[in-house]
Amino acid sequence: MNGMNDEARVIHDINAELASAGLNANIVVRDLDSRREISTSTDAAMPIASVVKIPIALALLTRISEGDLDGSQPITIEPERFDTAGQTGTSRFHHPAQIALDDLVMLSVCFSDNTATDALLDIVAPAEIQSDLDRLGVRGIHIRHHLGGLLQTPLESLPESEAHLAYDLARSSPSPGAGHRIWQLDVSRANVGTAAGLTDLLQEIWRPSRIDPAVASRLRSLMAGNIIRHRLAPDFASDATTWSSKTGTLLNLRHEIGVIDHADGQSIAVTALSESSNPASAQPAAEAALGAAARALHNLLR
Amino acid sequence: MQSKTDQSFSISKTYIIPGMDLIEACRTFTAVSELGSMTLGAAASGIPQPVASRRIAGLEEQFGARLFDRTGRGVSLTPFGQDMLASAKRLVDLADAMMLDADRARLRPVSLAVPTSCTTRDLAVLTASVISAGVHIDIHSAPPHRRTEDLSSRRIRAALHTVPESEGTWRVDLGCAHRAPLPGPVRLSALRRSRSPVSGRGPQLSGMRLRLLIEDDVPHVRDRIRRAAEVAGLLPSQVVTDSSDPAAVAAVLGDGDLLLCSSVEAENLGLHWSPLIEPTIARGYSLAATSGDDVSVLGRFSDEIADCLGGVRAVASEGGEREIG
Repeated sequence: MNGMNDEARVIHDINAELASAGLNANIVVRDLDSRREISTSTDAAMPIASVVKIPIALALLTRISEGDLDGSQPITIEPERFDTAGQTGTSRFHHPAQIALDDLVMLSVCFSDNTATDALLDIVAPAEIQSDLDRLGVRGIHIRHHLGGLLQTPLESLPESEAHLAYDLARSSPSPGAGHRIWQLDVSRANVGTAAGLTDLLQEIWRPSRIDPAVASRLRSLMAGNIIRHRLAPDFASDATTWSSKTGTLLNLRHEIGVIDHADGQSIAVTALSESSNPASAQPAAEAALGAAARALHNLLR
Repeated sequence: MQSKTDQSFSISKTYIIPGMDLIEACRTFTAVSELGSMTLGAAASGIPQPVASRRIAGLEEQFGARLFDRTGRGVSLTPFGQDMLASAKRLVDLADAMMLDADRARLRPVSLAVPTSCTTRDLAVLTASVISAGVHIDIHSAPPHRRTEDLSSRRIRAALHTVPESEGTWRVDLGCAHRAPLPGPVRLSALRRSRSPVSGRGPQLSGMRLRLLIEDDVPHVRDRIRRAAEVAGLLPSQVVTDSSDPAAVAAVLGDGDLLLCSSVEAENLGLHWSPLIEPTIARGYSLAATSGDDVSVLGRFSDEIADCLGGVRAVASEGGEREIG
């Protein structure tokens, strides 16, 4: 290993640590001002699960800001059948409710509320959000379906005692970036993104060049209010920093994209996309390993 | 001469010499023909001369022709006798070879495949006990999959098969061995890595790896441990199946990992041992053999086999012993 620089050594160690945690991950960190970027592996498209709520929120907030939509417009939310573990917000409602568009966007981003997000997709179709991204010049993200589809995997049709079979099926993908028999994990059918593309999106939200700065600011504050803080947040949150992020979890996928704003003004985007080969539902040690890896990579940019 | 022969023996053609007598008669026939004398041939065969004469006469009667010309001083082979001599010799040689084979087969030991963890002393006690019962036994140590393969290909006659604990004749309780004393019985969930370790004295189970011996690289042990580890939130890398037992033990001594093993194995390795209580896992063993005889012979030494395995006789059933087809 002589001649190997520190950065390569750290990346090597991080990858070894991730592998021992049963994770195949791509982590990208980027200094949003100097644009210096480090990643753990080559870029490949992955199903992004709830991370897709960021471009959806961006599209909605842009239309509200431009006056195409009214943020105070009440939307009727019908009680959904997503009364499964891990669901939040209106997904667990038992009665119809009237909620303003602005607040649905908040529920979607801060609470990762699937029902609220699908209500937003009923107003702005996936194809329109896709063309917004194309206009922004953000590549690698494809939005194809509603979030309800994420709750129709084999996991939902198996009894709890057999749930590990769904995770077993999920991990038996031929290779990262390829097709999958579970369509929600098939890169050609699901909502997908690449770590580089998602980092470009964060770049645009934090250092807006084409989107309205007011819209960007609103979205940043929503991401700062993310209530799901068990994955990367323990390694990034402190009184001297702001950690704003969005997670995505589906079967064996564990993602989080976010930006850490340091008190000294440095902002570093962190995009962690991972898939696990361990057929367990709760994997606290893998979450911790992902957080530690992202932090170690981030430290190379400090 | 041919006509004379026909006359002499035409009345006794139905007489058949029994098999064993035929062989003995042929033995006398070859001896007499080699020595050219009925008296010497009888002596060489260790039988009285009249018996030899009677046997030769019996043969001639059976064949329907004379084997010897009785000359003044001795006997000489007739042309018919010369024709018959080669096959008589073959029959005698074959009978001798058969008796030797029978001796060898009687002495051939019952080959028994046992786990590699059995100690020489325990195996010696088993061997001595079986030999004192008049059966020879030959012990082969082999890992579990080899024992199964060798038995099904009949390279060995009997094997101690590893089976789910509930189906075994013998049971070996498993626990965790460590280079330092463990605080008490081990739950697998105690190995779960904590986000922030609590400092203190004594071995910290949190984050430790559990190593499996080759003997436990079987579905009913390995996969149950792996599944329990998944459920308990352990990292997949915390349950390790090594390519060899020395590699596993080296990691236990060097890195302070835990080893899944029996208390006897831990003692032999000089390690401290505590039972695993969650999940509780035991090895099961049953005796399998190519013949039911071998199963019933070896089955009489159940206690000695239990000692070899470092386990106990399972209380449940005796159904573990079986004969393979």
